This record gives sequence, structure tokens and C-alpha cells, in this order.
Amino acid sequence: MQTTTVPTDWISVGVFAAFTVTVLVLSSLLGRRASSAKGYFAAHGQIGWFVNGIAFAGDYLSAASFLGICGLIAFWGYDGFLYSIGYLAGWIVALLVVAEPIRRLGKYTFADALNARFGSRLVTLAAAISTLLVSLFYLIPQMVGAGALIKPLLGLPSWVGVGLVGVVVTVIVTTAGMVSTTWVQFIKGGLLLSLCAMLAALILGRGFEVRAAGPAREAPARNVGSVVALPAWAIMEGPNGDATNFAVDPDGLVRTEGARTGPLGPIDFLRVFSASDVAAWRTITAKDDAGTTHSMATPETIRGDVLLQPGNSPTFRGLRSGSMLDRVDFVSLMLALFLGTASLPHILIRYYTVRDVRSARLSTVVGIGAIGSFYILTLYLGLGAMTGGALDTSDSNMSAPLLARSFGSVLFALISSVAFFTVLGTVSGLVLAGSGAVARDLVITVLGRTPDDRSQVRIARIAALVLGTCAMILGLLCKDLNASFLVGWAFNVAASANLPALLMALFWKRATKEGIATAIIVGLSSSLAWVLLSKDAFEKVYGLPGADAWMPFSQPALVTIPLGAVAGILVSLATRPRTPLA
Amino acid sequence: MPNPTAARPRVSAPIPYRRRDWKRWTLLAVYVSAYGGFIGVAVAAPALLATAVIGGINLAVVWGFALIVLAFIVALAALRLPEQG
Repeated sequence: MQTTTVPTDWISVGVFAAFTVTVLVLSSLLGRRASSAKGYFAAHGQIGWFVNGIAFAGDYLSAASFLGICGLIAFWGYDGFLYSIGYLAGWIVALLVVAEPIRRLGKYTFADALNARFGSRLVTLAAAISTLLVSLFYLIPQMVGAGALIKPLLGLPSWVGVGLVGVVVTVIVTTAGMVSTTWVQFIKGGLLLSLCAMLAALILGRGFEVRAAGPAREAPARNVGSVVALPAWAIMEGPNGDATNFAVDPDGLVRTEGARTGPLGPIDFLRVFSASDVAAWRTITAKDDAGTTHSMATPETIRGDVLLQPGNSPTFRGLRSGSMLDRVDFVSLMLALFLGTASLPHILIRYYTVRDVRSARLSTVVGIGAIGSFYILTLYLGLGAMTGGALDTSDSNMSAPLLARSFGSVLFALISSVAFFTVLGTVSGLVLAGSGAVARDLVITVLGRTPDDRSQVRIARIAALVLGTCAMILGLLCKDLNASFLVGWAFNVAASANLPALLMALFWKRATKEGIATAIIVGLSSSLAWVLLSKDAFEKVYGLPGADAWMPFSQPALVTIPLGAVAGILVSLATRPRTPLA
Repeated sequence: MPNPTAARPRVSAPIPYRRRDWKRWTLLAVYVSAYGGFIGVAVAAPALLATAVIGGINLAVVWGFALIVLAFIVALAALRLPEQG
């Protein structure tokens, strides 16, 4: 595969530098507020509900949501939007089931809430390990996104992007913990929403234009993606403002190059796309006799309404194949997305930063409004990227920034910098959750006592440094995978490891500490083993034939969530105290 | 293994089910039905999602948008619920 050199865009460098300096200055200014454990881990529980709600969006709308989903939609249409639907749906479980009990029972970490009834070192240890592994799993796609962004943004290799995020995040988290993390996430959430809304408005204002798809070419092919035929009734103006210049084919479609719709409303945009022929680019990879790998990018003309149905991408193709296992795989993924949000430690600890239960609820509602609005925009951004002539066939993660570039270098600089900021915000939350698990949960388990306030903060800072380094290494190892695809796995592991234990601890009076720990360990180990031995891992991570995979389908939640729950219930029943619980 | 120095548990029992919580679980059931229905149709009758329903836009897009909007409506309704537990 050929490599391309990207020239440095100095506007992007300037905007990026301004953003980074702002974040670092903010962290150093807020550092004084995070010297105690309550300040470092929970921002003193004094964050207002609106700020916390937008910070929820900043925490949750990760590289996977922005870069990954837009990329999937740009290449495969509706399949990427399935992730948007699932990611948002999970917030209903968080709001209605776990938000209020977590706020009431917990203090600083996920283990605090889980262990509120038991005071058990066993539960603390299991929850800490789960938090660390889930956070690390979730960190990988964020770092992949950082690496993908740095190439077009600064013209630097991906390892520089991964390194930059690692260093900046470590500074953010070690200086001011949850205080600076919250404000970074709040600013990032607001900027991301505003800029994506602006980008969507520009896409609607541009409408569609007929452009030749062009021949197949060696990958990576850049500046591709087009509508190759528009429905005749949709043509509003030609290059000379005269729609009659365009020949209408017998099927009612206009294929004259340059024919354009002009501005479209949100519904008309989808209607015209549905009725149009679109060039969707596919990459075929093959080895020649000498063993050299060649990739060819080829345009495939597909009707828009087909692209707006599930089942186009390799991940979801099974929905149309009739294969039962493929359908089970789909159901399992959607279950993981639905139940995963309420199981993510870095999301759960944000409930500790507000004053009371009512604020927890209000901030979740603000978060759902912000996140839902963003996910609606992803469909327009993805389809705009697919048809805007700005795709890079070798990197789906770059679809949204390249779309912004098609509207000018300033917007590209802003969107890319915000995307980078997006990675910073989410990675900060993950590193903070992980460092809390080490400083409070693991250390308490190992030492058998709670370190004093300052020691906890010191240990958390060291842990943040180590976690930041681990994230950088993992990001480099997995740099060629789609960010959203990887997050799907993280949701599977989080839902399997944490949700059964959380529900048992919160709602089941017969739950015992042994049962809770068992639910976590069984859910965690079974889901991790499953994804690492799945067809997707064999093909996309190890580069081995998918047929050699051990597991019948790739997404484990449908099996491993009930497995963790059953194990937890059986052990709870077997270890229940003889005397009735109070 | 008990941890003698761990923070004293602040609760001794799980959150009890209360009759007034029925609205909470009804809201959850409504959303689960809408989400589960979407998954069920995608698996069992994917061709149905191709049906144009509103202004030439297919059921897949309309249902997807509806799930996002419904989440916000459910969230607003949840503001009126009594505190859990």
C-alpha cells in the first residue's frame, strides 16, 4: 500500500496549539482545588447540574462517536447510525435504574457504590480490576482516534498524536483531577455540539451535486465520494440556474455532471439521498505472486435507500444474509450498547460530582438532550462525507475532518482540533476512573487500610501516569482499527462485568459479597475471552482467517451478561447467611 | 474477607421496591419495547425497514430518529418521578 505525505496546515497548527495551551492553563489554574481526595476524585461534589450534563456529553461523545460513527456512515450508510441509536438508548438505563442509587451510595469510585452494603475487600478488588480493564479497553479506540487525527492535522505520523494525547491527558489528570477533567469535558462537549451543528447546516446548504465517481484506483484514494445520479424532481438549479439543461434519463434520474440540488431541508436531504444513486467506495486487498499486498479502491453505485437500511457493512451484513449466527451477533451488540452505558466506570463516577440526587437526575437529562442532538447530526455528517467528495478510502476515521476540509481550511482546523479535544476529554475521564480504582480500591485491598487523604491523591497521580503510558502503547498497537468498532467491544465487556453485579447489589436483598464478586469476575473474564477469541479479533486484530476463530459470533453480551448474572445469583444463594437480613 | 478499616457501609439493605415506582418501570418498559421492537424488526423482517413511511424516508431512519427523540421525552418525564428508594 502506498504512503502519502500530508503537508502541514499552519491554520490547523495554530488552532490546535491554542486549544492545547488553553487546556493546560486551565488545569494548572484549577490544580489548587484538587489537593484533597474529595476534590481530586469528585470535584468536591459541587459541579452544577447543567455543567455536569454537558460534561456527560463531553465524557461520552468520544472519538468513537465522532470519528468512528461518522466514518462508518460515510462508508456503509445506516449501519453506523445503529451505533448512535444504541449508544443513546443506554442512557435510559443509566437515568431510570442506576443514576440515583449510585449518587446516594457512592463516594469516589465505582467500587464505592457497589460495596456500600458489604464493606468487602473482595468486592472492592473485583470492582477495581473491572474498572481498570474496562477503562483500558475503552482507551484503545480513543488513542486510535488521536493517531488518525494528527496525520491530516499537523502532517505528523500517528504515533505523535497518540503521544501528544497521552502527555496532555496525564498533565490534565495529575494536576487537577476531576475539577479540570470536568471543565475540559464541558468545553469540549459544547464546542463539539456547536461545530457539528454548523457543519450539518453547511451540508444542508450545499445539497447534492452529481459528480463522476471515477475509475478504481490504488488505495489510499483521496477526495472521492459522490452522488452519481439525482432524482429529476430534486434538481433545483443548474450551474446557470436553469434546471432544464439537464437530461433526465428514463428512470427519472439526472446523471449530468454538475447538476445540483441547491440547499435542502433536513427531511428533503434524506428524501433526495434515498432516491439518488450514490458511489460508495469499497477497498479490495489482495496479494500478488511476490507476496506484496495491493489495495484497490473501487466505486460501487448503490441506491440511497439501500444505504439507509441496516446490513451494508461487513459487521451487519448478516442481517440480510439469513444467517442465524449473524443475527444473534447483531442482537448481542445492540444489547451491549443498551446495557453498557450504565456500566461504564468513567460515566458512573460523574454522578459523584453533583450535589444531590436531583442534580444527578437533571444532569442526566441535559446529557441525554446534548448527546441525542449530536447523534441525530451524525447521520447528516456521515452522509455529507459520503457524497461530498472528500473521503479517504484508507481511513474511515478521517471522514468527518475531511468533510470539514471540503468547506475550507478554517473549519477543518476547528473540527480537527475539537476532535482532538474530544479525545482529550474522554481519555481524561477514563484515566481518572482508572487512577481512582488504583488509589482507593486496589491500595485499600492490598494494604488492608485506607491511606490518608493526600496519599490517595499522590497514588492516583502516579497511577494516572502509568495508565496514560499504557494507553499510548495500546493505541499504537491497534492504530488500524475503526474506533467505533473497538468501543463496541468495550461496551460488551463493561455490561458483562459490571451490570449484573450492580443490579444485584442495588436491588436484590439476598445478594452476598461473594455473589457480587463472582458476577464481576465471571462476566469480565468470559466477555474478555470471548472477544479475544472471536472472528472479528482473528481477522481484524491478529490478521488470521476468521474461520479459525473459536467463538461462533463476535459480540458476547447476549451470553456473558446472563452468565455473570447466573453465576452471581448461584453463589449468593450458596453463601447466604443463615440468619435473615435486617 | 471483611475490611475493618473500610468506610462504614451507609446502607444495610438494597433499594426496596415501592408501589410508587411503577411509573419509573413503566417508562423503562416503554423505551425497552420501542428499542427491542426495532431490533426485532431488523432481525426478523429487515425488508420492513425499507418501507417508505414519511415523505419518502424509510422506516429505518424514522424509527431511529424516533428512538432518539423518545429518549429525550422519557428523560423529561423522569424529572417528575419521586426519588428512587
